[in-house]
Amino acid sequence: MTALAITGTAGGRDRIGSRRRRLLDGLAGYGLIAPAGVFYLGFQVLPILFAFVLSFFDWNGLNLASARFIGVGNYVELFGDESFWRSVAHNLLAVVLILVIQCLGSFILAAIINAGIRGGRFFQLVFFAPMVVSTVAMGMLAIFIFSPSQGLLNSLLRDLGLGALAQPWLGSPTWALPAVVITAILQNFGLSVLMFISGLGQVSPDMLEAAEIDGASQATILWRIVFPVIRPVASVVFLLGIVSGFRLFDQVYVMTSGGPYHSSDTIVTYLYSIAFAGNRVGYGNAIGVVLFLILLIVAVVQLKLTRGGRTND
Amino acid sequence: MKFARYAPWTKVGSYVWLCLLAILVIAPLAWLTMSVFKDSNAIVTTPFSLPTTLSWQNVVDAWNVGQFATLFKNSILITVVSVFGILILEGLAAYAFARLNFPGRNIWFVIFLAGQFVPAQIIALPSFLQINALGLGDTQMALILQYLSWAPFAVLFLRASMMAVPREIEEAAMIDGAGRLRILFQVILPMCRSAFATVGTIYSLWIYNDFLFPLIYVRSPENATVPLGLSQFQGLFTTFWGYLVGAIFIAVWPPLIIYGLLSRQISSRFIAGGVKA
Repeated sequence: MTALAITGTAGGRDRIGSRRRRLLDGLAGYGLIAPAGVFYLGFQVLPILFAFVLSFFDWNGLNLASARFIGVGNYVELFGDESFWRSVAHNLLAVVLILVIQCLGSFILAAIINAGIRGGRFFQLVFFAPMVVSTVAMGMLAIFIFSPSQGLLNSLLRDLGLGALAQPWLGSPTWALPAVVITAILQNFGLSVLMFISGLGQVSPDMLEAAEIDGASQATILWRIVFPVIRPVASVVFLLGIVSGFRLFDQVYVMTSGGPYHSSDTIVTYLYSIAFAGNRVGYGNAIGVVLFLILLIVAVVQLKLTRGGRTND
Repeated sequence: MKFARYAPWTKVGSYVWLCLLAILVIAPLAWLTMSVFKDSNAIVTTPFSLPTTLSWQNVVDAWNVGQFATLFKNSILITVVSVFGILILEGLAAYAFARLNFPGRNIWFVIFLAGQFVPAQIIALPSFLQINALGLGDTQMALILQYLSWAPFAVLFLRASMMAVPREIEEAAMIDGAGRLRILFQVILPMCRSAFATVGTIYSLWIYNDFLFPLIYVRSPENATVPLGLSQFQGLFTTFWGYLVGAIFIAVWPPLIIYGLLSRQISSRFIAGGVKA
């Protein structure tokens, strides 16, 4: 009753001064978003537009006089650039490893912890810890683990009598990229586990019980009851995983600088070497624009998949 | 009753997996902490032996050589200024998007939202040219300006939490004659305290640990942040194992200790942010 009375008076007041109120709200609205907008437009929106424009120029980045408009020349070159496509392939491999190891692995571990296992809190605490540590420090620590002669991994393998498996991990064109990706996965694993645990916490115990009484199989329960509930969480975990695979940079820069023989180059390390070591600003921005388009497609597909799912349900 | 009662794995198997991953996280840190007390030679020749002495020499040397006092001062200053700035800027903007009706609101909101899909790696190069053109190359101010522009997540998250505040409370305050700003600071802000804490926690970690922008914007060591200083240190002392271990130790433990003290708050904030983002 009282709530009704209050909204009633507020409505009445609003009608009396409504034009003035609307004008004030309009001014206040722009006044409130302006400070944030200045920074956002200046250092996010403007650079993106800048990147698009520059991607049509050949420029060394030093003096504006040397900039030359070449139309889609950079994109044509990029299309035939083997080094670029090799980097893209490395990112795709990273995405696959992240999806399998991080996304699926974290779901299994989250399910185990969710079962109410003893020490679950402790495991959550440990798994999440790398998340707060800088990627550079983790990368440097990983160098000690993977280093060929004195590295921890090889020493351990030799001590276990598995010396034949020892590798010059970061110095090997086959193993450098997986080693870097594993390091990156370890950094983010805990967040995926935590998100799945929070998702699994929303599965209704009553429905599980009912399904069990009805004699549903474990696979049916997982697919029909658990999956629909954790679907939003799962889609975020998978999206974050895919995006982090395409953005891979810090660990590569610290651990291998893209080597040996470019075997661990990613799109962003390639962009970095083109723009800063090669002084080719226009070409570097064209790479950036292509990465932007790739991630846009990923985001749109993910949005479509989750939206589509909801209407079907 | 929980879902995993139906899980096809046994209890022993579960523990094996959990422990395996826990070891993967703990072992490198344990090795680091053990090695920091050894001399350069012992670190690589007998990597699994316990230290014979308890000498902090590696940490002291790395601290001095790597100028970690400067690095920490820079990192903390940049992080604190940027995070406070973000909370104020995006808090105001989020309120406008959540509660005020102004022409063009939806278009502006979409513009702010679109930034969610633009990764920092693409901004880095063009914004570097821009920073140089502004004469801000190699300054900490350049980093702060960049971080203050990281609006999308904060705006989205704060707006969602402000929209959850019942309108009746606001209307009651309005009848009492409170203006918009007073309502924001005295009614909305206290009710959305946990959302602000979430944004503050997540942005603190993002900014403190950011490597890309310091790498691209900053040249001189006296303007470097901890991650950048650490990577430059690595380039200079490739085979000085004692120095390297000391430097990693210095960079790794302070955030881990803070996390140990506040782990419950930090991880729950990340869940809140991750699921709603």
